[in-house]
Amino acid sequence: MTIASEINKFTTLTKNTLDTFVAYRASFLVWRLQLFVTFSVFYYLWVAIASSRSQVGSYSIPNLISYFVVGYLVRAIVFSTRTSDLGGDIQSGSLAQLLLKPIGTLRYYFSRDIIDKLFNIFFMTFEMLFIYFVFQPQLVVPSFQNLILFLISLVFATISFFFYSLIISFMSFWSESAWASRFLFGVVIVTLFSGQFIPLDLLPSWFIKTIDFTPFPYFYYYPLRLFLGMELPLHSFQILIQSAIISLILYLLAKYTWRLGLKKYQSYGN
Amino acid sequence: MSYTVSVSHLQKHFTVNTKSPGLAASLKAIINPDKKIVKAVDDISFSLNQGELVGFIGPNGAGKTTTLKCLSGLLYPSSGEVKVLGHTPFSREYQFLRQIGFVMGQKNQLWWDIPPQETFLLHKAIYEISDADYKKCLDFFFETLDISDVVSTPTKKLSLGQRMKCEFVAALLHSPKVIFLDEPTIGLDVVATQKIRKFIKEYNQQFKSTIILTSHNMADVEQLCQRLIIIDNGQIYYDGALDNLAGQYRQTKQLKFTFDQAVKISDLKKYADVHKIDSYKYSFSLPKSQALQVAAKILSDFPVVDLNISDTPIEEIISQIYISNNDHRLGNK
Amino acid sequence: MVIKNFIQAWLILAKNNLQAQLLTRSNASLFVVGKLLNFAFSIILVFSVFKTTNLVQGYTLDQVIIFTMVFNLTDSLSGFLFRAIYMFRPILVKGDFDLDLVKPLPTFFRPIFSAPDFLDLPPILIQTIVFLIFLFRSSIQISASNVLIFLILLLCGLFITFSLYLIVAAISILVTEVDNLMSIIRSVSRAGIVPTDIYHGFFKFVLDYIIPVTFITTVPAKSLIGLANPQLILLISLVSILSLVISLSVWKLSLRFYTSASS
Repeated sequence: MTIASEINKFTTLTKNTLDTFVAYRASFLVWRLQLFVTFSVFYYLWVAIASSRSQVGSYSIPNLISYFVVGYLVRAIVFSTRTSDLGGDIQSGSLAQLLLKPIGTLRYYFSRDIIDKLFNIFFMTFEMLFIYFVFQPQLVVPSFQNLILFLISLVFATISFFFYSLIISFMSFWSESAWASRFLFGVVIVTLFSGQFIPLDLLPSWFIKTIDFTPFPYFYYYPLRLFLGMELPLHSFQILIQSAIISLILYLLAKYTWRLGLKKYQSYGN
Repeated sequence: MSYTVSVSHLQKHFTVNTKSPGLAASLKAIINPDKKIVKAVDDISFSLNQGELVGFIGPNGAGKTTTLKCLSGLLYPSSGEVKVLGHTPFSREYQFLRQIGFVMGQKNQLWWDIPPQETFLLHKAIYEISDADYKKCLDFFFETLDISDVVSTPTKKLSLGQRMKCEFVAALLHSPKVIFLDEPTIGLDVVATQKIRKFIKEYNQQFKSTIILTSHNMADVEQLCQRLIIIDNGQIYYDGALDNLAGQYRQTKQLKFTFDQAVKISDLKKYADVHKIDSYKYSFSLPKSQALQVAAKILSDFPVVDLNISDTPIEEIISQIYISNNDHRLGNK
Repeated sequence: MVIKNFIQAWLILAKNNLQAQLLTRSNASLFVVGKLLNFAFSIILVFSVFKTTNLVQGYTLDQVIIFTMVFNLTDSLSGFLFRAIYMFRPILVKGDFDLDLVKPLPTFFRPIFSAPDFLDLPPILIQTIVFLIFLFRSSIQISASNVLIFLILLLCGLFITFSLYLIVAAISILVTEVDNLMSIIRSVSRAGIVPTDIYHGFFKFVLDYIIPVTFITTVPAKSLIGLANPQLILLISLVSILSLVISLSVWKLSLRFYTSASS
């Protein structure tokens, strides 16, 4: 396992991904369009809600707009993942073929994720420029300190979501359909509770108090709060510590579930 | 006289994207891909009467499945005329669709998660089969295909052989007059293949439906079809009785000798072209007129313990036709 | 009788789909919970927005909630009836669609109607009950004629949705891409969670004429609270008929160029 061979595997994976995109180029363009449209819907919705007002809850208009525009970037980095394929691979039996190959299975999915994220970031850059010049949003420029806090929390968010998504996929070892658990826990709950539709502090307080115990706000909401500098310094620090702890917990849970699931897979087959 | 199936100067062309290897070509392919036209069916004509069981064979990519799809209305011909039971297939008239059946060896029409018998009920509704006819057909199929114990198991849990049998039932439940079978025995084991063959033969004899069968398994064709159409590169190379083909091409016999001591190939060369299997076994390919003479000579001159005389297998005949067509094509280039 | 065959086939498939889904009860309940969560959250969203203001573009909280509930209802109804569109691509790619085309059923049966999602029925029922309770307790006056017109417009909206999905099916035959197209449509449809009047410019144009969310959810909801004028009602009826005609023509055209996945 030399560095050269690792780099080689990585470039091969990249080229394969690009070839797949080319083969399905219509699909690829439509996928990018879909991401952009989702963003536009919520952007316009909030612009309409905020129109002719200077404040929405505790958010100034530039803060609110930045929440969604920078959120587009956060979504591209944190939520782009191939781990959802793993559920399907377990169900279909393709995992068996993968396990036979001399590569670390989890490392394989992690590499694919990195490539996926790089592709996402690459195309998102053009889309962000488009948004900037066409939508001309009022944006907030963060201080250097806030930017650093934001980037650190983004790293933890990425790691946390990767393991969270893996755990959802691992449920396929035990359940009949990969799609049902992914739908509820991977799509609905994550989208609703991570603050992608509405900043979480605008929701009823009982709601926020409950989901603060879950990892979801740390995927999206808290990184953006740090970007906007809307948290007190002590609380910001607390958020980073909590993000790190959550990443660790999810990592350990993922490892454990993987081991358990693999044991079951190998004893009983698919 | 009106034919059940009549094809006249049928052509079907496809436009396909091509891509050269390499990353640069991949990027170009996103914006402006290269295209080329493939002539899948290139001016073919033939006619079938009611009740005929025809084998439609050719190498991969010859145009067999494309022709079947044009006949069933799945594809729109680029030019030419196709009539099945007096209808133009592509018009998809329900009157027409109710009289045809299609079995595709690699595809499913049975619903995956539910037992075959539910698909049968669905077809009963779609094809408006009466209760009496439905029961009569099912009884026939249960008996000939021996599937009464599998029809209530979800399709996804059935073996390929069991599934194919049920696919046949689903396709034939409405007693179609014209049946298209596209590689129905592909992937099946020997026993299942035999059962399906027997079933097709019995069905054709009893119900007098017109059946067009494509297969790579020569034994299917030999056992079932009296008439053979060979297609290659979108064109028909032979259309006639299977026996005639054998007659035309089977001018040679294969002789296989086993000797009880080692024999040198040089000793046998003077009789005819010889092929060595090992030091004790040799084979000859001889014109029919000479076969017996040469056999008698070798029997008297050498210590033969076993002799086997057989016709050239039909596979070899057909592959010779494919190869000579291919050479002909390449030669033209 | 084609219609009779259609209905019979649909009922048999609906029954079978339900049986298959009930076999995996845990998964069935996960889906239902997910859909109910979406519904509950959309209401919470509206409430939260109105905590910060009294009016959104001239609409009161009660009115916006009606729009949100109508949106959820139309979304669930479309999901129930037309779920098969999400399963169309694998069937196309595998080539199994060929075998559907040789059957005496409308060609659009398989891509649109062949997989009714009975897991949408409990959420639809619950949403309807919550909706009715809300209507009784709210201060908005609703007459019987409003309800009748609302139901007619809801039906027109379903015709428009069907037409949209059929065009997606037609496009997918030509480029075998359905999943993401459908997710674009669903993303844009989410704009209907509030009255589409609040949007402007190009986006409003899209919502009115390209993916006509306005006609599918906003106008029916308006008619319920008495805000839709007769011209608008006539317009939607015409639009729904026109969309059916256009989509069926496009679909027929795509079938003509259909090339199966493999020989």
